[in-house]
Amino acid sequence: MRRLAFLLTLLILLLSNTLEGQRGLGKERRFPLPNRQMPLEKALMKLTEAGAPLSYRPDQLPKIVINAPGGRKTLVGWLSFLLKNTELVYQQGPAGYFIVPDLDLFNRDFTIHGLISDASSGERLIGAAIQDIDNLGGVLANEYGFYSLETKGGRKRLRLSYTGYASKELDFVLRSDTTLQIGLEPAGYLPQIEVRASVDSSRSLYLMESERTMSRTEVGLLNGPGGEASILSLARMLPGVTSGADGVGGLSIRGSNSGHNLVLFDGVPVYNLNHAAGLFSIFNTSAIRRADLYKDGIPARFGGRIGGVLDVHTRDGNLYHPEVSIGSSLLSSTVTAEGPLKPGKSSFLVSGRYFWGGDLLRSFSKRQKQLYGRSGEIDYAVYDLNLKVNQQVGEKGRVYLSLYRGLDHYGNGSEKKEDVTVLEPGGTVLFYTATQNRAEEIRWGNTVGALRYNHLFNDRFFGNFRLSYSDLLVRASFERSDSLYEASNQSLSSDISSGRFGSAIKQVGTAFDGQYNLTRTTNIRFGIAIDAHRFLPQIRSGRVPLTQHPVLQSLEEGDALRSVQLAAYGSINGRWKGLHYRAGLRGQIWHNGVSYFNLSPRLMLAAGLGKHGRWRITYDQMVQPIHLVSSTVIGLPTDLWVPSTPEIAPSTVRQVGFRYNHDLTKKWQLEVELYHRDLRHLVDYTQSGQNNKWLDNLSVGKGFANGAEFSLHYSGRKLRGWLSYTLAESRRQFDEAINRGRPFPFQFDRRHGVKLLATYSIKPTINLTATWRYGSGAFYSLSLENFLLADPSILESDDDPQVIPLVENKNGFNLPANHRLDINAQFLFRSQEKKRFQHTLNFGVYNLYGRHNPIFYDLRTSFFSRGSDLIKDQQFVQVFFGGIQPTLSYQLTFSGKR
Amino acid sequence: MILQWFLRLFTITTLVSLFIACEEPVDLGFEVVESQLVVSSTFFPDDVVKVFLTATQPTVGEQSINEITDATVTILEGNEVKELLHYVAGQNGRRGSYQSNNFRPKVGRTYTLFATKSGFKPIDASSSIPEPVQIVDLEVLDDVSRMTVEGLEIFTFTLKINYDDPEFIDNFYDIRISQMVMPYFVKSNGDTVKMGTKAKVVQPPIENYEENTVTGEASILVRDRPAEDGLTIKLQSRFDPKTELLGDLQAELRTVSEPYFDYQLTIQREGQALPIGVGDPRVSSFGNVQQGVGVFAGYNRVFRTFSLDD
Repeated sequence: MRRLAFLLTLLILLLSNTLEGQRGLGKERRFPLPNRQMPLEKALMKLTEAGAPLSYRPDQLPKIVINAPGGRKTLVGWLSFLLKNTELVYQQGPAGYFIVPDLDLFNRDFTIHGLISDASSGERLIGAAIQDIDNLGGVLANEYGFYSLETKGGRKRLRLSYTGYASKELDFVLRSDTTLQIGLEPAGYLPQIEVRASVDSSRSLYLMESERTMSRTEVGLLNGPGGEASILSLARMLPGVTSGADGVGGLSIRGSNSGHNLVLFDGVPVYNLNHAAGLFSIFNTSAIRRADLYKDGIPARFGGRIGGVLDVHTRDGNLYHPEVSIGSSLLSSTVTAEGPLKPGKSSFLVSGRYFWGGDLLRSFSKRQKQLYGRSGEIDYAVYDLNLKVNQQVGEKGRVYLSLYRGLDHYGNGSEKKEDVTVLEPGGTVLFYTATQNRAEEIRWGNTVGALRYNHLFNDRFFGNFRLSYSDLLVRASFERSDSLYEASNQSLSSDISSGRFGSAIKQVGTAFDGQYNLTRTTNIRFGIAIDAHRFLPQIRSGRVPLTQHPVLQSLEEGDALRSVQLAAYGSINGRWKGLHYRAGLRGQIWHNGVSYFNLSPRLMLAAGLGKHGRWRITYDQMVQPIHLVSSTVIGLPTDLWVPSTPEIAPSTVRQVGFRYNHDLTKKWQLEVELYHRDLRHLVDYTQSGQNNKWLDNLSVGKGFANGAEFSLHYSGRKLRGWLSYTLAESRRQFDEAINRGRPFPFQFDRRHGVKLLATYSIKPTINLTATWRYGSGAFYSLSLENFLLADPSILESDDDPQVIPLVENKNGFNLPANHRLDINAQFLFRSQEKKRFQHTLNFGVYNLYGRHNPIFYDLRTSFFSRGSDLIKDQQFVQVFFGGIQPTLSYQLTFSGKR
Repeated sequence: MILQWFLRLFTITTLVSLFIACEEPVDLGFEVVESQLVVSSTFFPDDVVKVFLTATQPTVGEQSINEITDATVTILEGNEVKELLHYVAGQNGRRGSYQSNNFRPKVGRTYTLFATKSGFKPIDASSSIPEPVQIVDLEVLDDVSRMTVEGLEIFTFTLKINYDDPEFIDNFYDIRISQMVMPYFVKSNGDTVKMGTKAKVVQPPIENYEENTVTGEASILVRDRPAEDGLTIKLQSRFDPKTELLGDLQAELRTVSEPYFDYQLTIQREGQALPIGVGDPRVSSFGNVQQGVGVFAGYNRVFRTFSLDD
């Protein structure tokens, strides 16, 4: 009995120890794994062989390779490490640990967020696509490169893509909210004229993207006058975008005046975007990252204008290594330097451009005028400077400082004298000298500054704070005189007119823009902005010599008009079944002696149609409290910016648009767009207003614009481009003071427009581009007849009758059709020995077949004698920007590190 | 070396092409089918009516004064023919005009001008003479300055003028200030020969422009009255003491009809500050002439004389 009790006790002790020993093995015992790569299954087998109480089903294990660190860990420690990138979990049971699928993981929502940037330079990639391949969902990065994607947990395959960059795929298991900062590599030298969403599986992501994007790579393939690449050259190749001949007159988008467009430079409005009356823009291509053009579907965050939106983003500067570029076209030279201040954390970019042809222009204009029998010369000087600095602030913020300064100075003087001898019947000889004098001088300068701070509040909430400054200062003077002097009688008859114009605008403001992801398919954007404006428009003109007009700087500062504008907006972007929507509302208060409150709703609906089609409908209501009034046909900066006042309400527009895209094949796509725009409270110069009081010189009216745009796009391996046709109409009507209250065509109402752009890549380093554009002639107020009327302002009313040109209808004359063919060849090469140097050479021909597209008409007067009479003869001449012209530009880029 | 030469050639070609603003004669292919009659006539009470009649001509080609001397020009009041005007040729190179013999227009009556000439569409225009508005106050303020510039005596002064502008009616005024001078010359024997008094233009000086006015060479256009106490204008009078004797200043307040006002406003702005091509030409088919061009407009006027001592 005692023996039995002893054996029983011993057995119990042994069993207890065994159990105890087993439990002690799970908690405290450490198991080894070798330091090498091995499949997951093999790692688990090794643990089991080492005595780990582990159970699993081999068929549930993913076929992945583990990089085991080696050493000894507890079983829990090894399981946490080995299973962290799998859809499996471990559970403890009576017999040890079991590895099972984490069923709960697939039902939980997580957020992946971060920034997408260029891997080599650190530049944020605006609008990059992040697709969840398995769930066929995705998002686009915002204008700061930020994205936030909500999705279910488990194994994820993400594809990241961006035009001009190699796509990247990521494969990982999502088990928690994850921050992914992604860098994409540029895809070499592939030519990309891709001013639309790419035709691939990501197209559904672009359904709600209403902008047309233009990158500087694409701009560089098009050469403008003198080889000067300009973002506006590419913009004018889009359907619905027009201008005067050779870009003169600014940008007109779907029947809007150039002053109706909102032009933003890093979020700050710019009041003048032209150098040389529109031949090239103030945007230095070396400093620009990309520009987005909106014709309709205007997001609620944009406001203050009733036309299109041109949103220009500057480059931040290379975050990782320094780069210097030196380049020159036939008109200007550019120097650009960029690089890190602290690698990966902060960088700078400075780019300057200077027009160096001034001396040549003076001497050759002198000779050219002499050929026409005139004396005088033309002078033109321009420079612009871009500076940008950015700095990371903590883990979640970044601050940016952008500055732009540009100055143009143009002067043109000419004098022509003609001597005519007339023999009178009585034998008297009369000696006439006819003198024509023309003088004009314009100085205009833009300054733009923006201080911005981006902050990532959490994985769903992103915000941007901004302080902004923008000014435009214009000073212009003109004098024109014609005289006829007879030496024998010392009699002189003359006609003189002159004027001074000045426009000084300053805008200072602050704003906040936020973006918040509500759900995986819905996000909201909201913001608030307050801006203070100061306007000082000044006009002095009359039939007196220029010296009799006071210099504008001497005029009273007290004449300045000040105003304040407060705006707030909100919009929601989401999806309901297959229908994508974006609904927004923008409210604005403008105060300048009186307050104007306006609400601007925005709506966009889009969806796929069948397998190959997509449609979109937009409604935009916008308001513009400041007006650009023009007294010239070529949009000189002498056009005045004036604010809304108690007498002049803000302009408004209501616009509806429809677009349909259809993929004909993988390479061919058809796009059709229709629009209607209803414009109200438009402001323009009255045609019989009083001098020197600009407020009394304005007239208010309305207008409309309708159009249909058809585009055929081709995206092949080597050849890409598009062909578009636009049928459009735009008219205006003001009060009695303009055209006697009758409706008239808008100046750039080009009834028919055809645009062809083609790029061909012979090989990645050689690209050919051709552009051909055709547009119906612009409308122009032309005097075909004149008549004499006495000038009652002279005391004796029957003396000195004046010749008055008769213009019966405003814009009643149609200029000839405007068309031009440009070609360009781009060569990129990098020396084999000195890989840090990259050479870019562009040469081509602007206006290949030498079309003379008139910008305006002028009258030339000459005198001759016939018998005893002095005869005055007049002839129209058309003024145009040259015939066939070579274009050439070269750029050398040195990179600090490869 | 060759590369430099090519670059220079390219640059010069570009600059010349672009910035010399190429121009060439152009035939716009239009044809002026029908010339129109042009009327220029302003009339005031109890004075001869003068009508200058010309015709429009094409802008291109030879320019000449196309005077119409054989038209039939009639003044009517309602359906009653007041007078058939007769043509009086101009003298000393001046233009001729159609003038009334006996007819003298009266205040408040509406007259119609009717003119016909073969080859032109007949024209008509109507206007009346408004009631005169009296000058109630004319005062030279205390800031008269005098200076001599290249032999010219220049007086700069501020004139305050108020007039009895009726309320609730839109009225239009043309204010003309003149400096009366008497030209003279000294004969070799020392005798001074004085010629008839004439009026010289008094203009606003260059430093200042009055609100709500348009300043032409001799004419200040005002709509109604800008303030209860009238308006203040800074002016400058000039005379040459070697050839002229200084007289008084004269203020003429013309109460004009709206066609007169619009026409004169347009004329005074016709000297637009921009070259004709670049500046947006204004629609100039103004005027109150039917089937023609020009203006037939009445006005009234009152005079006040003052001197700088006032």
